Amino acid sequence: MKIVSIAWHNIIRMFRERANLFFVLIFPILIIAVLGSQFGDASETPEIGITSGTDVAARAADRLESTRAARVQWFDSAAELRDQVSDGSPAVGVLVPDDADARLDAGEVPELTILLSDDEEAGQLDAVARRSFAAEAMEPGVVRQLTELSGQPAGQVRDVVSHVASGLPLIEVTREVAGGGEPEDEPIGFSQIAVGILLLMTFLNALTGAAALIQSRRLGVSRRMISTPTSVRTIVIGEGFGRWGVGMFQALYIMIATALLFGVEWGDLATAIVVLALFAAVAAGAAMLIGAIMENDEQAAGVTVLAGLALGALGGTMLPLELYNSTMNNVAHITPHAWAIDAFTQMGRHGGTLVDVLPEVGVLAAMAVLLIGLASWRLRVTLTRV
Amino acid sequence: MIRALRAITAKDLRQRLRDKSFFLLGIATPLALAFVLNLVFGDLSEGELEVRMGVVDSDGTAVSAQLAGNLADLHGTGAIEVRTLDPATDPDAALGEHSLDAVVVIPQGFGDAVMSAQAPELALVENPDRPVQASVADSILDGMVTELERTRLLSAAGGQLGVQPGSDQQASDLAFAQEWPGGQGLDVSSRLMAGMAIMFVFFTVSFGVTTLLEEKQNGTLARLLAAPIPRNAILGAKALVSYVLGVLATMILFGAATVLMGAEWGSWLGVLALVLAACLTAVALMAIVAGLAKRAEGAGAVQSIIAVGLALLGGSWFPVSGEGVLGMLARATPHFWFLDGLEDLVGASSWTVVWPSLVALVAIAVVAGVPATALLRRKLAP
Repeated sequence: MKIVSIAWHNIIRMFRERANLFFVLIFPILIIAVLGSQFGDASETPEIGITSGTDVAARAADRLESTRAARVQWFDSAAELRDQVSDGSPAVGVLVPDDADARLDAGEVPELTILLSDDEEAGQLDAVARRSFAAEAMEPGVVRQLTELSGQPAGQVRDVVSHVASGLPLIEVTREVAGGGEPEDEPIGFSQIAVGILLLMTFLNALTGAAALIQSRRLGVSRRMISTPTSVRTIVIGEGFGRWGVGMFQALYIMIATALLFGVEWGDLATAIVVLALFAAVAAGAAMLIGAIMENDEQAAGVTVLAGLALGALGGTMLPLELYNSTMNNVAHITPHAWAIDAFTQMGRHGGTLVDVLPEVGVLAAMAVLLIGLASWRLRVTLTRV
Repeated sequence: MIRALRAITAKDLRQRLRDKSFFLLGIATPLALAFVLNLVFGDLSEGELEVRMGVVDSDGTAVSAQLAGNLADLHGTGAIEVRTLDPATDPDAALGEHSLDAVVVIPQGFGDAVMSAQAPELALVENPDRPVQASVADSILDGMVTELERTRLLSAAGGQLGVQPGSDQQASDLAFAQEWPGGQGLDVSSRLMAGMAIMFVFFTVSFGVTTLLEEKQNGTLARLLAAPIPRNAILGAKALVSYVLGVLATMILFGAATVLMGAEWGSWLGVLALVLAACLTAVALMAIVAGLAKRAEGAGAVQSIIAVGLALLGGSWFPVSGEGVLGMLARATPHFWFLDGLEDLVGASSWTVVWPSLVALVAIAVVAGVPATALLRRKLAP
């Protein structure tokens, strides 16, 4: 009962601070909305700007649009396209010289200019654009090469090549995902962003509770609690539960809000709650440990914000872990975030249940036990000393 | 007036530099965060995405061997690994066994189909846990297929014309030039550093502004007001201290990024101009909050909300596109214009390219600064 009361008062204390209300209730949803609209919009095909007026450009545009690699925005003048690309929209432009068709027909190699913005997608779109133009210039290229080799008139060679080409069906590549399912080209979806921000904010908000713990000690609240017939053990557990409660509240709030607002699916609910409970316990343990060893609550506030953000960034809450190189991926797994993300990935992509995420759950539990054990030991010492 | 301004400014500066918060929050924290973020994001931008592919050639013809060979030749370029697997390998199992991202399967009959007029088929089996790498593998394969189609057309048409083009005839039909009309912009680590610097300068500045509220709570403000000091001197000193510390911290961060990370910013004159203008907006915005707040703690909390919120919207953490509703909101933040100015500056020949950004920043500073001054003057009552 006392444990619950201590924990409850810790949670109330957090919400008395109006700024905390913003950081717990509004900020996470805002950031998920911003990032989601930035990266998670799967329906958004990137745009490539092309100068109009040539056959080869029209054919390449058809190819781009039919493969859904990109949408094509036409521009009448090179200057206009340059201008728009320099503003970043479209991210990539292709300047096709007006004499491109004629030069291809004449057996020459026209030069196209790829305009790149500093957009992140530019490099990838550059390759996409090149491939589609190269594919459309293939036939004239083959004509040119064979005309040189055979010494026959270009017109005759062109007839042969186009006849042969029409009789050759294209090579087809079928993409399949191991274990079934549709291949996805837009890997960073809303749910991945939501998982990352949930873990980032849960850990951060539970961790910043360390400062409140130091305040309790400095203001003598802890001393007064000890003077009542309450065992140190109860106080330590109560303080721990308080941080854990803050973390769990944050996690469940984001889960429910994102499910309602953005339709994020969290997989098997019971498993998700087990993973979150353990993750919040790790955060609570870390908060208690910092609260037990640091003396200055203002410095602790700074340290916990920094540690919360840095561990979160390292642990894959801001960038999917699968994009890390192997070394960084190993380093990331010193954080509880990475393990929790692994668990959610299992649940989300493979419909995993508790049995499938046992390794991740085990690691999180071990981290929680270790941190809470260390923290309780230190906290017993500091609580009775002050 | 000048003497009083100097005395208060000097006192506040001494106080702030003695207190560790300037170094901790103004310099150490943004540096540490930029460092960690750079570890995480840095690789990705340099095309160092690790892609591990496998090739299963169940066909065993010259054509399939050529394709498999071309793929295998990619091994070691960039961060691409290609592993040639046994023809009887089950691709699904191989994904897990060798931790591959995608396996190219060349089925039996592929070579014959290529040589005749049938539709040749290839399969790409993707690892569901690595969709990004799998789509890179897909586009690599796509490029190879186009090449193969060209070779096929060349030899088929060549056969009809009675010539036999060699297999090494890899001519390109188009030439490509690259151009960056808007400049190449900042690299990822410099951009992260700049983003963190502009975000944290709001914190650095906010401490200076809120000391006014603290002085009021402590009662030292009443004593200042009782002294023969013009009120503008008190306000001016508070603003000046915040501004000086803000500019100092930001310039130290930019210098540190140059020395430690080898960041390049372009003209330092342009950097200085942007920093001077951006710190002005930070002082003005933080002063509004201090002017509205009743107590120093309350002001501090709201200031951190605004600092983090604006930084998020303005692109300190992630680049924002500048389009749509979010883009409009982004354009209202100083962060957006500061970073935009830096992006333009890096490849520019003269520092004057930052003019549009400077104008926007000064406009924000004026729009926020006028009400801020009025609000804070009201605070100057005993």
